[in-house]
Amino acid sequence: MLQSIRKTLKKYNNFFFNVGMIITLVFFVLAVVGCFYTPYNTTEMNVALKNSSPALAHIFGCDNYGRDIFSRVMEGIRNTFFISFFTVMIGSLAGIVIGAISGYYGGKLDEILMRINDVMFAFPSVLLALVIISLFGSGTMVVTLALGIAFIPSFARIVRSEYKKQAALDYVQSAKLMGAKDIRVIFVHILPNILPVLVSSVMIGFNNAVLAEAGLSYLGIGVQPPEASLGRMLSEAQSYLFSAPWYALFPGLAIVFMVLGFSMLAEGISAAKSR
Amino acid sequence: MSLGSVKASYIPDSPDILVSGREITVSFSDRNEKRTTVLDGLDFDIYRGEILGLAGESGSGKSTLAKTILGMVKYDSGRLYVGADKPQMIFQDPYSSLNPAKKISWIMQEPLRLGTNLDKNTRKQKVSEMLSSVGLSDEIGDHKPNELSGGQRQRVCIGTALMRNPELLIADEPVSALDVTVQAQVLELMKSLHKKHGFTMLFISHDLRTMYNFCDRIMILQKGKIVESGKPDEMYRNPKAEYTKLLLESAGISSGAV
Amino acid sequence: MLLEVKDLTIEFHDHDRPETVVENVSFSLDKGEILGLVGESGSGKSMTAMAIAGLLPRKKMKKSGEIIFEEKNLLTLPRNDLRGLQGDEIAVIFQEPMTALNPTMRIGRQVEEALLLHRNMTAQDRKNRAIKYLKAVELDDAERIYESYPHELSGGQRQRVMIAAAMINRPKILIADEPTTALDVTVQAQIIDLLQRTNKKLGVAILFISHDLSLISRITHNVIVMQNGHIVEQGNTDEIFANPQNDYTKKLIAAIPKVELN
Repeated sequence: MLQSIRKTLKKYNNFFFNVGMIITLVFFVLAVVGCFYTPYNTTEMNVALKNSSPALAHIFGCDNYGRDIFSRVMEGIRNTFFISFFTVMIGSLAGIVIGAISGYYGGKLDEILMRINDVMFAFPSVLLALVIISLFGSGTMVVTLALGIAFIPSFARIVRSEYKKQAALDYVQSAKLMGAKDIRVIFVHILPNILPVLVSSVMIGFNNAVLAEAGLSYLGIGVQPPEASLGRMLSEAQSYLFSAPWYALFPGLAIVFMVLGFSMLAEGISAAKSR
Repeated sequence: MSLGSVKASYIPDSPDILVSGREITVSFSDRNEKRTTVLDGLDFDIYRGEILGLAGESGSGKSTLAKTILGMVKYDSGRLYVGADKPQMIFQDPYSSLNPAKKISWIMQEPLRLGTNLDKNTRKQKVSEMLSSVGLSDEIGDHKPNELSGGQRQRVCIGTALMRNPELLIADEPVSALDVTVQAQVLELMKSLHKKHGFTMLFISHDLRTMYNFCDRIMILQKGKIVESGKPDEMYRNPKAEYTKLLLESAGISSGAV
Repeated sequence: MLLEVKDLTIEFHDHDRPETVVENVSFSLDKGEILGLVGESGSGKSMTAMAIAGLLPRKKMKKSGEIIFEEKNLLTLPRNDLRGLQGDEIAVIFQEPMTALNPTMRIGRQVEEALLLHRNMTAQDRKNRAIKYLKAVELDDAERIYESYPHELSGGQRQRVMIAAAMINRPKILIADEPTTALDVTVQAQIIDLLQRTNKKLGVAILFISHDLSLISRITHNVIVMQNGHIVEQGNTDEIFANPQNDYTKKLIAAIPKVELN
């Protein structure tokens, strides 16, 4: 057991994976800790500290209401992280089911599902999410659901093409001849074989979700104030870009590094897989 | 779609017949809706316990006939009797016929998981017995297919196909992807398992040399039609159809030669 | 002696440990000879042939020994001089006629390629010569095939086109790497027949690589048996098949399905 863990670690021991893992772990810890604890109350205002620059007490400085930016960045990371996580969950799970059915059965069903998919795919995912939000109102739950639905088509498409490839292989015929029911063939026999592709598209999907969530919050339709969000902080910081540049800098860096960490992790995994 | 259950659109007159077809016609339509006839009114019988060779070149319809018997392809017209429950198949390419994500032991247990109520330990016991009867060691079970050679994989495929003692085994060019010395070993294994288990085998090949010693009877298929059938020795010595003569000549087999 | 291979050793260096795929292989090829190179997968037979054809990558592998052709060592020859020989003095036909031809180029253009690179000829002369060679490989309707694309031809026709393209410069050596494995048996026999007649008529030496011993025994003059990168036995084909000395050769010959009609 220990040996197999060591073997796995050795396999993934490359620059991209290591750095990506460290960055991602840092963000994960910040997100989890952010659920229970932030150095300062994220909504507490202090006029005396309005737009104060980074200092020991407030390492990222304070915003235009005198709130601690570090605490708000932590909360923003927490929100972005979990919204993105559930977005990808919804998108990939629904995508797997739709893509698998479409690719495995083919024929008319595939035709219908993929045309619906194409229609959804034709909308930029943020636009599609906007439509859903305008129908159901904003708020964290609705944003997550809207982004999740907007992410289904891209997953469905990838999963479908993988299932089409796998379904043509002899081992699938062999499983059918043994008497395996379709549902078993789809999820027990074929699914493990498309996991590598799925893992890398989930990683890319997560990054897109981070950016989409930040974009929506920037437009003011994501997470609602006074709750902190990285996108909204950026949009508010615009007015103080010269008087308090740290207000834009730190949320911006948080987004950049979150995406960078995941991209490197994905790169490292695919490098290890292709070796 | 349920594959491989006993189905009959007619009952043959002799109880010795396991599979029988009368005027079986299969055609496919391509993208332009043009229909191509792949099997053109075939009459054939497969007798219980025999090894029937099915020879022909690409496009002769030999794989389609196998798929028709297995119920993977629908026939347009004719009558088909398949008296074997859950016939199994061994494929040509041992690299795509084993699930790359699963361990050998898991793959070989699958027929038992699906068709019996045996518990895990009994299943493992059966797999280990089967591994040894196809000439593989027990520890092969812990490996994944990509760690095995072509010959080992094909042995695993044969073992998996035999897990539930099928009455009919269809082998579609089972050795043509293997090295020559490995080919001989795998053929020998199939022959001895046939003797031991007494299943009926449909052996599809393009290699008339291999079929000579391996098959009890040979059917020559050309463009969806059976042009000749009979015992190998008689057929090779005295081929009746022009096409059979051409095939034998191409394989370097002329009367009396090696 | 047309070609001499002396102590050829090929090592791969693209993994953690270097891997020797061919070790101390020596043999020679005479003018007009058909030499068979037999072995199973991993025997190094294709690597040896690719080394002679100059088709091995320059990086990540170490080659030692000599391949002497017309007093030149092909292993150390500068890249441009080697290109001058390829397709001119030494030609290759591959196993897979489906992928060996460029699907976007007309057959005529591909058959003429070697002329275009190595000969100074007018377009009309090239075309005449290409059609002459397409006729020589027994393609009826050579003019139509000259204008066709690969996907319009059958597997057998494509392999004939490959042979025409390989022979058009009258090479001294033709390397045939499993040229019939992907073809149907009856087509296989026709292609073999064509290669044998080309060998007789034009005197080209053929290095015939195959795993099919029955085929090798029928067409080659001499044979080399390889296993795990080594030559285990070489000599006259008839003698070796009648009286093999090496155990592995015996095993290979025993693996040919025997057809003894009584």
